[in-house]
Amino acid sequence: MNRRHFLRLMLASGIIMSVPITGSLATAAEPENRFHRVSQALTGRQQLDPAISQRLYALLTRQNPLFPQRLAQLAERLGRSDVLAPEALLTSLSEEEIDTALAIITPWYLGYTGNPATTRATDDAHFVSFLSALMYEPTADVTPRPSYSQRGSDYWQAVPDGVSAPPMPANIYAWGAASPRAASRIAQPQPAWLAMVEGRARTYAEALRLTDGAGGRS
Amino acid sequence: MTHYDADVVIIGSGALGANAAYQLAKAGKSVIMLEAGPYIPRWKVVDNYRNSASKRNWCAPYPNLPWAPNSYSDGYIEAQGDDDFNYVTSFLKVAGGSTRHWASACWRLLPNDFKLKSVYGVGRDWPIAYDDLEPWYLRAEREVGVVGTAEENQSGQGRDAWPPRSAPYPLPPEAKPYMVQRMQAKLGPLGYQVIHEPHARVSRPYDGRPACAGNNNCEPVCPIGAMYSGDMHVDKAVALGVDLRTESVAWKLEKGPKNRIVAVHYRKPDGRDVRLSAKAFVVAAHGLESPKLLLMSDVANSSDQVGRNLMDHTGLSMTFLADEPLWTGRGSVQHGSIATRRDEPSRAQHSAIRYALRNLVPNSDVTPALLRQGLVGRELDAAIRDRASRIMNISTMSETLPSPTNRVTPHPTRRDGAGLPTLLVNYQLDSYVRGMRPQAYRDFANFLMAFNGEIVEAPTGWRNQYHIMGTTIMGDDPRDSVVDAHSRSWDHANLFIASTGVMPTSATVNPTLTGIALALRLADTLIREL
Amino acid sequence: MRITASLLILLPALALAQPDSATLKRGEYLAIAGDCSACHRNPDNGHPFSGGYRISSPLGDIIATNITPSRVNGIGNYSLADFRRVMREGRRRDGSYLYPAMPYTAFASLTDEDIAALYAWFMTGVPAEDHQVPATQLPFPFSWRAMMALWNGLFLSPQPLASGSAEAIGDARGEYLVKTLGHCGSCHTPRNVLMAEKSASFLRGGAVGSWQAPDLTQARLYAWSESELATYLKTGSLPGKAIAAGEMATVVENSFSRLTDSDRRSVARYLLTLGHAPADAHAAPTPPPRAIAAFETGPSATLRSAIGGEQMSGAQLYNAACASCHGAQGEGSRDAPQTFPRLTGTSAVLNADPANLIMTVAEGVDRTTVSGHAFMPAFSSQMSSAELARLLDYVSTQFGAAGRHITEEQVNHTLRHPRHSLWLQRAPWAGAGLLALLICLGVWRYRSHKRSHHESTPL
Repeated sequence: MNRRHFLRLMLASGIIMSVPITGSLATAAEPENRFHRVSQALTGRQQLDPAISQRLYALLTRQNPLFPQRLAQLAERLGRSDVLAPEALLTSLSEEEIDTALAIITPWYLGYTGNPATTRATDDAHFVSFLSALMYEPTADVTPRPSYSQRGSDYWQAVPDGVSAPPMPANIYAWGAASPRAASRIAQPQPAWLAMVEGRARTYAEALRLTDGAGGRS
Repeated sequence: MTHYDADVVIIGSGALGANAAYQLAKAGKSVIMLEAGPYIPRWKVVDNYRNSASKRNWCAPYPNLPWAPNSYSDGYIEAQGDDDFNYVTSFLKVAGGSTRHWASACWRLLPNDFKLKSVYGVGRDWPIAYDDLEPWYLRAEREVGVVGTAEENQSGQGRDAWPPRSAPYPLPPEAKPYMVQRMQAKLGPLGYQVIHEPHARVSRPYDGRPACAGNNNCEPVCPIGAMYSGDMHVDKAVALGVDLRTESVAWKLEKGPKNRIVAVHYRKPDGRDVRLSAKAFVVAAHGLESPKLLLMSDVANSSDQVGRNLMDHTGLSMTFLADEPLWTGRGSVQHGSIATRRDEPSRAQHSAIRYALRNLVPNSDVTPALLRQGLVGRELDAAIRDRASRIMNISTMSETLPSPTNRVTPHPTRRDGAGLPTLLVNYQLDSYVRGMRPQAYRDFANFLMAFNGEIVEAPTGWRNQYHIMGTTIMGDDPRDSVVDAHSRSWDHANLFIASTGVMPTSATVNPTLTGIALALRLADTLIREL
Repeated sequence: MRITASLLILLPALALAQPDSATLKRGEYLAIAGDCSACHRNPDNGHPFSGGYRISSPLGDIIATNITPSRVNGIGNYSLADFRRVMREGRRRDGSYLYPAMPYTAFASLTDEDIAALYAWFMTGVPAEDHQVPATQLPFPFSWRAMMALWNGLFLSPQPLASGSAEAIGDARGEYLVKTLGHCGSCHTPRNVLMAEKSASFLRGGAVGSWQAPDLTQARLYAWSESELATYLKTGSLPGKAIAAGEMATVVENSFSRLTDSDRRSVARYLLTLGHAPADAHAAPTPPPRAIAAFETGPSATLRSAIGGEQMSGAQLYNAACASCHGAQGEGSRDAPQTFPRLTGTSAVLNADPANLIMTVAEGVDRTTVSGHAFMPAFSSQMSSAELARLLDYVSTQFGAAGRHITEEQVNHTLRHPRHSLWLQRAPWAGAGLLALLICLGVWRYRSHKRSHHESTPL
């Protein structure tokens, strides 16, 4: 992960600027309180649940005894936004500080630390929260948090809010005999797309080069 | 006058065993149903799910007891096979069985699926035809509450509604999600008909169950009970007097005079053994544990086919970003299917293919990668939204052929918490299923092109669908099959097997509805004979 | 001459045999408004009027009769006068008395036209079904139907009412519907020791089995608007105010949802004129949301605690069993109108009497109206009674009022014992007392008769 890229993104997303000017991060009395304020600064949220904050802080400290130290260091750096210009602040963040920042942001978004396994009974993932997991917030108006229905049956037929649906025939909603009929012959695939499917190219541009531009879009 | 502990002992309380138990109890028979695992209420599974870090792990919210380990337990299944494929399967050991964490696709097999050998010259034929099983397909659909339309050609283009039905589906289809509409709009012109996938998430209140409301959590547990799961028939069976014995691990079927099975032995967690006698026995412990029990007991295996012919729907999966918002996650986890290649002449050379359209809420799939890229704050939120709106997955359900070397046996050395052998599996992908890859690639290329897609994961690796078939194979010849056309063991007249393990062909559809139909049919046979 | 006479006799019957379609439609509508099929339905085949349904009363089952025009087992031999006597006096064609499970005390105030329209509908609009219904057999002394004469004498005092129009909204129309066809008082008015509605407490609340039929006066409805109440009657669902469950769901489904909009408005308008708002009337405050960490406590610590709910708090049980539809904070679904209603502010939760909350969770909801099929599963079989009680206690204190606890004793009592006020427990004694009174009365009159006779007999 490109460190300079990360820092630029932090700046671009307003995180550095949203840090309180007073520098109180560095001086926050208890470590939990500091952790809470750093979490809010790094995630750009002002309403993080304090109990979840405590839980996550305890978990991260159990997983890495050096974490409180790293947190204090990071807090101090972030707290300097009123003293240093943003660019100077950015260049002053070390690899370690970036790692610490990520170790804080990740579980707030995902709701867990570690790597959950999908087909094994044991893994190193630890639960933090589900209802607080921030990764569901950006899509909350369109899709549910899994297992919590937000609407009744059949709402999913409607065009999602904010989407301008391309024109489709009226019978697109129908299943069965009334639904639109497919073409009677399956199209021949284009070489560039085939190359991507076969894993020989990652992007369409690459695939075109690979197939000598022979695969065009139909 | 011989005393029996019950008319019938059923080993396994999954959808197949519980359906058989319910029918037998309705007919006034006394039934004891053994279940290796515990009974866990639905809401407790939901609670476990919400408090788990491993939400894409379908077994995680279910109890995994040392004497009743599920398939994900470390070391429980030792699988040998190909270099490019690791055999993994997913089954539970709880009352209600593995349908507690399925997505409830409820297809019928096609008439040709019963005659793979006669029509296409590969694999085996069933000893029965589609028409023989059709009445029980209908009953299974009603027991389970299947949603569908009788107007679809479920075998591909060019024919009328197929397979033939004696009555409509019990419930009408759900509304078509926007994503499926877009699939149809873009893939139809390329020659792919998107049809309705029949499933068991009721579309209106049915049998005490609410209609599906799009909780999008079928796997690992439907939070509201709209989707069918085997515990529903466990509850019905128990209400009619079936004696459900949980945490009771069957480990031996005891043979007696005239080659009848006279008793089953089961073990409790404290190590205590119990012996039960019955007039008839039904082994319903799913496709790996059922043959293991038979092999441990040295019964039903004059054919030497028990545990062999293991089949699954091992296939390919492609994930891509579409050039337009599709917004998967609205509705349940799976809607619609492309069955165009389900029954083509090429089945004589390679596996048929059915395409499944995944409709999961994708946030937990897209966010980790974005975090690793170092995105934060507003940029991260915007990227999550963008990717979640456009990500799509299409996978194949492909068929494998029965091969005697693909097999499950009791592990020679490893033991579980009950002191019983764990599982040793040998599973290699045959040329029949490998042979479908070029065709699948051509279709995937068309799908990708239709959406101007950006590949996230190319379909280069093999993936199992956890549909266990073939291991107690049905046939018309006792020399090369384990059960006859009525799911009765050739060797023991009072032993039946209610399992998808009896299926001699795998076809391209989820086998559970077929398994339930066969279980209802064998229950009828038992009711007549007892 | 004889032919003319018989024609003259037959003419009214002939005229009645062919009622005009307007009268029939009116009669059909009135039968829906009166919800006759609620009791007179056939539970075996679902026929709305061929009887057999058992009304459970504290004195035993009262079996609703076949009111199709079957000559063998129904009312096929009834004249209009016979039918009118049933409705106004509670007496059958053969003179026997009906038990007031049949709400003739309400129907007595129907207009002649409405009774005639109902008669026309039942005699010619409903197909005859020969379903034979077993006779009601209450234990002695209640099997002695003639005692109903005394009861009627005390409690049957029909109030003349004008029927108004089904198309015009008005108080008077509303009053008519509520007091006659709606027979709302049958459930919503408390009853006295002799099981008669207490007229001084009209619609102040009653009981139906284990459920409470709430007070319909301003004492409870002070925060309702007319259109809200009309909507509730139409769909059974007014999220944040009330949800119709139990018998009321059936009433909405079979009766209210099939009335005209203006009739529902009339009923609402009339109801909202009754009684007075409480002095301390105020909108229920929205309770503060429960902290997430209280119920998201992480994976279970032991194997056993991952299998059942013995260690789970009410908050955790709520999140596990209810939040999937009703939301983690009881806010309900985000569509409008809400498919899954919010629990905050809803009457069953806010009610100081927990009966309806307990019964709704235990039995679920299954109600189909024009606005769709509302369905909530029954939870009594899914949890132990201890778990159910903790869950209900959480719902009541978190979404209702802090401190309004529900105990396991209350839950068990409600589920097992259909609620009767004390009078019903004393009813057998009341019956015995009544009998004793009548006997004394009879003896006294006989003796006084004998005395006077003796005195007046000349020596």
